[in-house]
Amino acid sequence: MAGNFKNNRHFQNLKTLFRLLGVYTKMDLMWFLRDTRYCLLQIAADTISAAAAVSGVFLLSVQFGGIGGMNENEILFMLSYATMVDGVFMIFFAGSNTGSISRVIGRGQLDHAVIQPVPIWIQLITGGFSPVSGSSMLVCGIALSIYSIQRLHLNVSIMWIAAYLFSVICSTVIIVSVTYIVSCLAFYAPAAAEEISEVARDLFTSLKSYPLGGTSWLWQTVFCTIIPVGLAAWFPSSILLFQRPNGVFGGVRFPALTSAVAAVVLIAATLLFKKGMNYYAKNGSPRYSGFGHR
Amino acid sequence: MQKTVRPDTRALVIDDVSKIYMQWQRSGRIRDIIKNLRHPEKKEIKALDHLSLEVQRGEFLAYAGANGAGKSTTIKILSGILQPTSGKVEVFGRSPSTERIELMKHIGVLFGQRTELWWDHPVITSYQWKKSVWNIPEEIYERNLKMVTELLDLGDIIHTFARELSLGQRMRADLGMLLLHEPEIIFLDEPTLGLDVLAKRQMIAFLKRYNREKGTTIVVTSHDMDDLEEMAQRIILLSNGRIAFDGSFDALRQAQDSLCRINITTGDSQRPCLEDMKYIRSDGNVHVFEFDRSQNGMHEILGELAHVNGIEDIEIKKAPIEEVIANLYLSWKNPINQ
Repeated sequence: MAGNFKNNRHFQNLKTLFRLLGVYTKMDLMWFLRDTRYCLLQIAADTISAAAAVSGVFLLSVQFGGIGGMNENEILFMLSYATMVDGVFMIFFAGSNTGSISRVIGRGQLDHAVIQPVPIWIQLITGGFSPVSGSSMLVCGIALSIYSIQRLHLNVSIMWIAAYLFSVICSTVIIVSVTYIVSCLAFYAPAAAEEISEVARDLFTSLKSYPLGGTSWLWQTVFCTIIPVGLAAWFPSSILLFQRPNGVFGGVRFPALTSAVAAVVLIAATLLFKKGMNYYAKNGSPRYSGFGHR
Repeated sequence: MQKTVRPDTRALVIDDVSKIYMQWQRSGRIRDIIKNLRHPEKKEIKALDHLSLEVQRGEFLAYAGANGAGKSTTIKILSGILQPTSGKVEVFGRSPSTERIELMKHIGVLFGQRTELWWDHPVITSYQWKKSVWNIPEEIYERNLKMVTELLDLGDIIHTFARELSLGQRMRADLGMLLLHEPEIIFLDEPTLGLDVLAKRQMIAFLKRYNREKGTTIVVTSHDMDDLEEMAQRIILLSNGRIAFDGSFDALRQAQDSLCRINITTGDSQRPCLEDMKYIRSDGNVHVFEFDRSQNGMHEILGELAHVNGIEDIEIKKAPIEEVIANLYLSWKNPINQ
């Protein structure tokens, strides 16, 4: 039985996943040790970026005594949640363009992935893992979360922390999956869609830090389903703060909506990426075919 | 690495494989805007046209052809990067498209115009990365690392960033990385592209030795026929996705055996006037002509030369392999003019 389990494909994949996370951790740490100055500069730039991302909306909420149905402390909590989500994204997808997958597809660089004896999905999850150089945003997120929780006098239990972490993972899955869904266009239009991942991510970067409580039920529905930017920070934060958002999702309790949408977009991203890979295998990348290089 | 490949299988089998690409045709005219949106004009390109071939274990195969002949497409299909439009491909009895992960443990692929090295890391880091990704046992990794470091003279560059290497150094480092998991078949797509003479010599010598000593099957594509002839025992020439020639280099020469070159050294730099021969070039007092033995017998050529004054020396030899191939390419491209 034990032998069968060890030979099981899923067990082997799991082993490979952790082995590769280990090697990318080592490579990232080596970069820090070798080029400490540049690595510190990157960490500093990420920290400033994190501060800039939250300060605008926070200052607005201070000026107006809260916005979008949230007071300034709740806004701060939502912003810390958004920073946490960005932090997780940065740690897993900042390196090797795995978070900007349309670049990899559009440049014909998936060839490098195909000739490795590892499932593509494992390569995509591990290839950008940067726990050292990509950690600054997460550290900021943790610090900001602790500060905002203290200001809110929240009664934090183990269950609440588990729900918080689960929400953060689901929100990250939503951002990554939507980015991948949009990026699949690069399979069909490699030159035109090479940078489309950034456009998809920008949608979340620019909108997720705004509370949607003040918008109509229609927009809330749109932003929590079709364009799920509301699930990247506002909706899960509201649920974690024991608030009932307005509109059609007022009766929804965590983790139903965030996790359900995360599952749907993850499945859609997987299917579309597989379809795109098949198209790639049939047609190649026109920019790298024998009929003309980039 | 653990060998799971059956020993009795041929290294690779390509059976009736076709690969068709579609190319959009753009006119760039205003009146075609609607047409380009609704029904864009597409042209069918047959990169491979019912191609069939087999390669035995331990063979060193040169795979040549003009630009667009289908060389790189074949390598990509054999590596599982592309799927054929029709036909069957097997590498060690496995299908590259459906058994990719298992197969990649046994094959090595190197594209001359790209690198598998991590750009912002020293070469040794890329090697350690490969060890983890391919799950190469420590003992085998150390043994192969030592071997490639020695044979490819990597000692001086192993701790250098890949982005700081010259092209020749990078190719050596890439080749070293390729061999760390002891692949049983190697696909090299234009590995000598852009290399200087010394780097080329080193690479060719290494590949020949590796093939001879390890019995590894090697398939190499290149435009440099002299390099291919030096490396491989067998050559397949592709033309428009079909095999135009499959055999040894000697057999290829015989196929074009009638083409001869004659170097005539004269007392002065004036070129002799010879009606039955095609003038190629002059280098000082040495004038190079070409003639076809099937059209002009040797006695006719010598007879014509006997009437030329001032000849100091004559050297007759077979045309260089590059010329033979160039003529073949030309004849395939313009069959009517030949």
